[in-house]
Amino acid sequence: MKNPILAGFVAGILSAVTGTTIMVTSYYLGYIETDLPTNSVIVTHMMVNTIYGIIFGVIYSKLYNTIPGKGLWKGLVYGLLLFLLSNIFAISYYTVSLNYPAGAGWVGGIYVLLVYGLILGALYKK
Amino acid sequence: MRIMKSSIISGLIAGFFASIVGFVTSVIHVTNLGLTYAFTPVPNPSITDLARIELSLGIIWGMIWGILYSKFHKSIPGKGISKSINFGLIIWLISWGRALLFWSGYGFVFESIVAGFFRILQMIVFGLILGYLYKPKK
Repeated sequence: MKNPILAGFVAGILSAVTGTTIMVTSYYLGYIETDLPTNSVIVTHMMVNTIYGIIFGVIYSKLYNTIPGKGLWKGLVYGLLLFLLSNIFAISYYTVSLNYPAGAGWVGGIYVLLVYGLILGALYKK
Repeated sequence: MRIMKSSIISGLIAGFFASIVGFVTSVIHVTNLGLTYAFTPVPNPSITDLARIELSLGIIWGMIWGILYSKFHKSIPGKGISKSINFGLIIWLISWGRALLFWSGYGFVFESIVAGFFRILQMIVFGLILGYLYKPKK
């Protein structure tokens, strides 16, 4: 695929489904506690990860030549970079604000962004 | 004028000045507008704690962003200062934009819009100072 918007959209939807499934399963098994309605959390995760799948896909196409690796590996590196800049960033703010439960919620985002990076790496070629 | 070859030091200085913007806007966010700082129903930090949070994280993330700017310098669109401002806006999109969209979905819509605007200002200041300081390798 040479279209970063389409590749990012597909990777975004698939990673959103993966992340939402893991999150809902964790919620029903009692690993996650939240006051927010489950439906609102599911819709938000699906929407944000799909919209940001497209945005991250466009950024990936711009940075493509300077990301180390090839194919899947390149995508995986990009996924880890996104995890650092997006989720670890949010976790750092919660941690220094001493709000550990809210920060812990962002750790699971590694599954979403690694799956996203792998699918994007497999789909998109410049 | 570009005066530094070290991306870490350039990022540290840019992060420090950007964190001052982050601190001032956070104080406005919390005290003047009366909004929640961490987007959760927990008490807001004191002014001293806000300074500690904003300065420490601003400097640490400034160094990380500085390193990434040097690594991805060739791929970032624009020239000169506009390149580093674009980098600041890309970082805002990845770091703040996504988190704020999540918080909007969880019901903190007004807080997210206000914080989004303030943090864009912070990242523009970061990009401006980074672009002014950092001298890329040829």
